[in-house]
Amino acid sequence: MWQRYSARIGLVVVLLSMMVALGIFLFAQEPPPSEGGYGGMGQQCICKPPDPPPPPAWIKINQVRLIPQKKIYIEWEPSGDAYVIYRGLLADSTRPCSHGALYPVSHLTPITPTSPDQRITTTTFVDSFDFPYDRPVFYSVQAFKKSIITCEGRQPSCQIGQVKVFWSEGSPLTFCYVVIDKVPVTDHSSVDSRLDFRKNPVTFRNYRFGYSTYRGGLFVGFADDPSRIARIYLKFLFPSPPFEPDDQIWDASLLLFYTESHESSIDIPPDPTQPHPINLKVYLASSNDWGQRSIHWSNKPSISDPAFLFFEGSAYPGSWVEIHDGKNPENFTENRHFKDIVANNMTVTYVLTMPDDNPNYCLLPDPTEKITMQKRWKYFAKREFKERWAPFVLRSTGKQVPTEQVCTQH
Amino acid sequence: MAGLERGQRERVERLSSLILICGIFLFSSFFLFVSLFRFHRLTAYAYDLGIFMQGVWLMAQGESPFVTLRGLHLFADHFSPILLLFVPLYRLYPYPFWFFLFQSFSFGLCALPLYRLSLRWLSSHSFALFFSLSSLLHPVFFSMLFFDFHPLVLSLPFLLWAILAIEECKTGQFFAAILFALSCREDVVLPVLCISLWGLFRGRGWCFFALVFAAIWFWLATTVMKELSGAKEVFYLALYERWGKTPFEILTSIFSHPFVVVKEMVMAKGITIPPGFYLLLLLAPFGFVPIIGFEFLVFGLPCFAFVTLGDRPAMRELGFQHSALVIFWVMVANLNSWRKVMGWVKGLSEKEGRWWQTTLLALWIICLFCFAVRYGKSSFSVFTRDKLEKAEAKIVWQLLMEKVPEGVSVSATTTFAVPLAHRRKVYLFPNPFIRCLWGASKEALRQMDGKEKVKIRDEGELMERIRERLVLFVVVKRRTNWWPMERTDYDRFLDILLANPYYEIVANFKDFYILRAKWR
Repeated sequence: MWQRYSARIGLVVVLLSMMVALGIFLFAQEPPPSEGGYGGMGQQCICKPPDPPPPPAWIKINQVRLIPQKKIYIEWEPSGDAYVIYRGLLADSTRPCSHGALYPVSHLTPITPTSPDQRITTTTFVDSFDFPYDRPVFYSVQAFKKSIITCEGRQPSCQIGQVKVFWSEGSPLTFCYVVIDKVPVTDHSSVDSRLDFRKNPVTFRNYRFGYSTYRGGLFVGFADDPSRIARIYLKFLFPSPPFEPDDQIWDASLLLFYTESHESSIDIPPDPTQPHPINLKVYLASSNDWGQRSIHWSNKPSISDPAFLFFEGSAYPGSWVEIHDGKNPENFTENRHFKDIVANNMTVTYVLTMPDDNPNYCLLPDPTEKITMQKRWKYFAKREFKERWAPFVLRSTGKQVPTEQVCTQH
Repeated sequence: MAGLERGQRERVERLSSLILICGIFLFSSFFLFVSLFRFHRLTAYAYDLGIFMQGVWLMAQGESPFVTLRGLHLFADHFSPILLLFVPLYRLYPYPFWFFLFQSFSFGLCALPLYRLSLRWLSSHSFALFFSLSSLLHPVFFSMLFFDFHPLVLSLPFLLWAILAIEECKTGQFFAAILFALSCREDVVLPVLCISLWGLFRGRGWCFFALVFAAIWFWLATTVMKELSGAKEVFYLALYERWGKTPFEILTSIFSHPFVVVKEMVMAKGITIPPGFYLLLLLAPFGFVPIIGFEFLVFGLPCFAFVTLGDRPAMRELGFQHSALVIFWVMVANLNSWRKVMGWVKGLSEKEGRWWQTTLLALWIICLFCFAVRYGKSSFSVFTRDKLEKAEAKIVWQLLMEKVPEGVSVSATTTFAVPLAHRRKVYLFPNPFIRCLWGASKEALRQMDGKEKVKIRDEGELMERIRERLVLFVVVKRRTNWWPMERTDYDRFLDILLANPYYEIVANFKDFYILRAKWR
């Protein structure tokens, strides 16, 4: 009898111990599973990082500047919490991409910090680097998403309430490319409205400056002497984009080499260490039918009215002036960009004048008119003055390319 | 009539054997599949697979197995001569499949001695099948087998076989079993000593020779380790440094502080296991039933003390390899307990006995199943969380095979060092640029346990090391297992590497990079 009771007691104890074990399983806080010791992740929380964000829908080149240093301004669609920008060049080799992609890109490397805490969070980036001409430079952006998780203490190594920041994997890359080329001036000359007092009635002297290189050769301005008004005519024959014919124009600017001023006004700062103000209006000429050798005041093509943009800048004598953007001369609150009057496969003539010049000065003046302005000349270099100081247009063309059309080579 | 009964018995035996073999095959195949899955998804680690891959590959090439991943001779790190068995297989086909195959099936084969013991103690084929196969569901096995390869795990079936041999009084089998068990790793000496003591307690006098043999083996193993590592002492003794410097000092100190020792053993704490849970989690999946078979647990206490008194919390992780030294005691104690329980049931009426038997067995298997599901699932997620997606893994494997030629030196983070392990010079990043986890030193042990993180101390010096181009290739990934470095230092190192003029990127896929040294 006692044996039966003792057996029952033993069995009840076994039953109870199993109930305790089940109780531990059901009610006790879950003891975390092993993370694998020294080969494992160590003290990591297993909260899952967020899924990568979608790739930015677009990436574009906003500006390409040469002065004061080479810079490319990039912008992309906001898509995540942080971004990494990569830059690469079109591969030199003719080795095709393995999966039929069109653009083999070499040395695609990050140009912004890649560690999670240092990635950029803005959607613009300025890349200062010595970009090559006539060679595609590829940019790509990769977005990352951040999630902040307050651990519940059920994950291994998590203390309750511990806040952990998790970064997703990077999104697929979104690519674009830019090809920067220099379009040299085809014809360039100044014209001035000096009068020929030898004739009666007085007419324009119609001096042909042709290949004259006096003080650089190109000049613009006013004077109260008989020379009166001077304008600069620049003719550019824009070729098709250097890389692919359907490339769009990302950006453009007109560059002139400023040689000196000759004036008797307050425009020149008394301090020789200060830059000179360079204020110019940019017009489009009505015709490209003129030549450097033959153009003079009377046969010059007429100019658009009003001017396309009013440029306000400054430069030291002996340095480049980059006309990139300016104001709408009729509405100073509106900005105008030089790229909007740059073309592919077309010839365009730009006319530069001083700000207070206007198309009406093309008329023969009334000899009784008294011009009261003081002498104010700005001189720029001509090709004939020095080949490397000739005016040119810095043109940036390119487009966004689908990710699957790019392959990276190293 | 007797012939008819014998025929039926034989049929039952055949059927039981068939089910047992199928069960072993199923369990083993599952773990083999998971191990291969982890390997192919680049989740296996340098120190838990790469070391053995490099060491065995070197031996298969007829070379000395100096493992550059660890900066130590393979047998100076751990004395595991059983690895020599893999050499001919590696000559045949160098592939870690062999490690996974042996590890998975050695686990599955634990069911065989358990079946024989159950049959002996419970006299029922169905009970024997039930207990031997269900014991394999203990949560400890999930992490142990998901976690790459450890020779220590291979010792499990041999230790159980040794216990069975004592029970069946088979001297030859016992010595064969302990020889194989000892060859798995030097610390298996402890369970072998304990089993031998239990054999003496059971009246098997020949177990005394096993004690002597185990002691000699320990001396041999430690001598070989010291010789090969060039250290004066086995550097793993540093894990018990707070108890003493020599084995004698450690033992003396442990015996002279019984209360401290008991407290530490009961309140053992792992990396993620809270204090006290290690012991609970060893016993609770079996419904605490093994406590009834306390005789075995008493003999297993030194093994439990070995795991719980060391300075390495990872040893107390439920599925860490060291649990192999303890879990077989719990499994045998469980069978012994059920022998006692069945004895109590026999003392009751048939109806009552059947009720108790059904209730307890049902509750036991529910308990075991619940723990298996909970811990199996979380272990699987822990050990596969770093995995690459199938398509990504395929690309990365392809890049590794195409871009990193055979035989060239390479430094790679822990998961990428594994596929590159079959070469003479493969280093765990940031080695060899920043020397860490190298050789037989306490510092290496501290770095291994994460107590001392590897940092970039001097950027100029680091640049100088990079300039020297100590390896031809470097394989890294941004978001990866950056152990043994701090994440910030790891990221900083990567920034330096990706921007320096001495290495160029030869392959890049997402945030995975292969860099090659530029010619000087």
